[in-house]
Amino acid sequence: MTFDRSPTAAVARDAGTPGDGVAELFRVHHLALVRLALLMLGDRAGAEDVVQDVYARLHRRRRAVPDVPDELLAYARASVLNACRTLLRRRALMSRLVQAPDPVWSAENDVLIADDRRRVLQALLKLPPRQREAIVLRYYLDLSEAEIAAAMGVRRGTVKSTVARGLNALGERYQEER
Amino acid sequence: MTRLTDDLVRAALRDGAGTVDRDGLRPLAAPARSRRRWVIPACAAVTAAAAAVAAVFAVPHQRGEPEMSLASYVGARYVVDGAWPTGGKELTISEVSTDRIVGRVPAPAGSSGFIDAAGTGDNRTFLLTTADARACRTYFYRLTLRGNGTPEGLTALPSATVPGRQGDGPDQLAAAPGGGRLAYSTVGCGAGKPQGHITVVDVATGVRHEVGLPRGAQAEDLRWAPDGRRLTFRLAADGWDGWQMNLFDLATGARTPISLGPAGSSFEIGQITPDGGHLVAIVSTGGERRIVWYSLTSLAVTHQVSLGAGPANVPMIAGAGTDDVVFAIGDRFYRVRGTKVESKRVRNDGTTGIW
Repeated sequence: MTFDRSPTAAVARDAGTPGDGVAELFRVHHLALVRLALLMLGDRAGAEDVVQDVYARLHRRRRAVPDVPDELLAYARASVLNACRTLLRRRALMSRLVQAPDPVWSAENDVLIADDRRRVLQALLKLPPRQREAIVLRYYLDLSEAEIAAAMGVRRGTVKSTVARGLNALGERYQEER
Repeated sequence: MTRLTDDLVRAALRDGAGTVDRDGLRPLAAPARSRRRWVIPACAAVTAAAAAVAAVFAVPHQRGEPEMSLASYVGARYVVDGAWPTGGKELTISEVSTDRIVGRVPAPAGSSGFIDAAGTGDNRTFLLTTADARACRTYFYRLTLRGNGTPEGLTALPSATVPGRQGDGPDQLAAAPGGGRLAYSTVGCGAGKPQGHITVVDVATGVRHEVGLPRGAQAEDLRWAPDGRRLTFRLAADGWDGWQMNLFDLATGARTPISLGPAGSSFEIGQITPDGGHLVAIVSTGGERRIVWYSLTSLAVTHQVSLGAGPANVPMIAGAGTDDVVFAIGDRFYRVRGTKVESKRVRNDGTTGIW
């Protein structure tokens, strides 16, 4: 997988600070992290908010985060997933009061995606968050089982079973979307 | 209809992710770094079911001094930082007054790194965890600091080992005052729907007590009362309408759900007062927040102070001083002493670490 390298104003400024790996990480991987959050949440504003929040938290703790870029990226991914999980949980709790935003790829939004792919994405959002994470990490980021385990905070064996269950569930939801 | 194949899943995810591109990406806002002067907050509207007083004060920030943080607000001298859900390889110990790192504690060799940390109340003794994901076990350690903040020792506490992995959410580990007892929130390691658990462990003897939780519920924001006997936490589960505050009494083994407001209210954090008489909590009703005092004797809300309107999900952190309860809501701190509330606006990035 390749990552976008578009700098943003804030991180471009901060990246000038010696040793500020967090700013550099977000300068390089901002778009990729937003896309990861987008696949978990479905809505763009929520995804951008999550990544902004993770950036702020990691920046505050930048003295204590891993200084090896790969480890820091893995940590940032795990943080984004954790933040998405929290947001999804809050949305589930608030669902009786507040309508969750339409997914960016829903038919109501003017986004060009082939119908069968759109149905996959709709089905994805109906999976439990853990299965959704496993599917996204495996099939979007192409991470290894060890990397997925680290990002999700589970055992490698759990990754295998979660991906398998997720795929089965995704297939069932996909059929329901027709 | 097209059969669901690996290629179709990959293509769909790629297309879905591609709906956001670099051109439309909202730039990241710079984290707050500038020093702020103390400001006098707008007059807080005060409503009281019974008598309550909100005292507001303003202290100018002195140029050149370390910025105000939640740790300094509660009187802590040192902050321990670096325990992470994915395993911090090293803890740092910082002096609050100077923001200077005075010590570092590497994670035990071969371990996952430090997952969780909690202070025991004296600002010199801390409980830490590491995890073995393969064995689905959480291990505990005691860190002690010298008077100057440098690490004195890291001691494994093998008798305190608990099954499960760290649960989701903040404050999964709580150390009772003095550090003789801990409570840890975990979830199972299987692929199915995770079930939450709270394990209370006597650190010296290893004697443990499982707190029975409703099916599917998970706990967070664990906090001990000053007596080290009662534990507060909040529960959530899929399908529940909001959070449920709970009080666990180790002496009786009873877990008691607590109602803190009318229907439609949600509470966001709570802590028992130093005298042990009340649970102080933030409650939201219709977008308005208030601090409520829930009597643990009469089992009813006896006082409340309005904090005005605010968004429903602003993160909050609580900390306890020696004789008070402190909340942080965004960049504003609230100190609760008795029924008095002091409020102060501070920088927004001084709330990490534990003390």
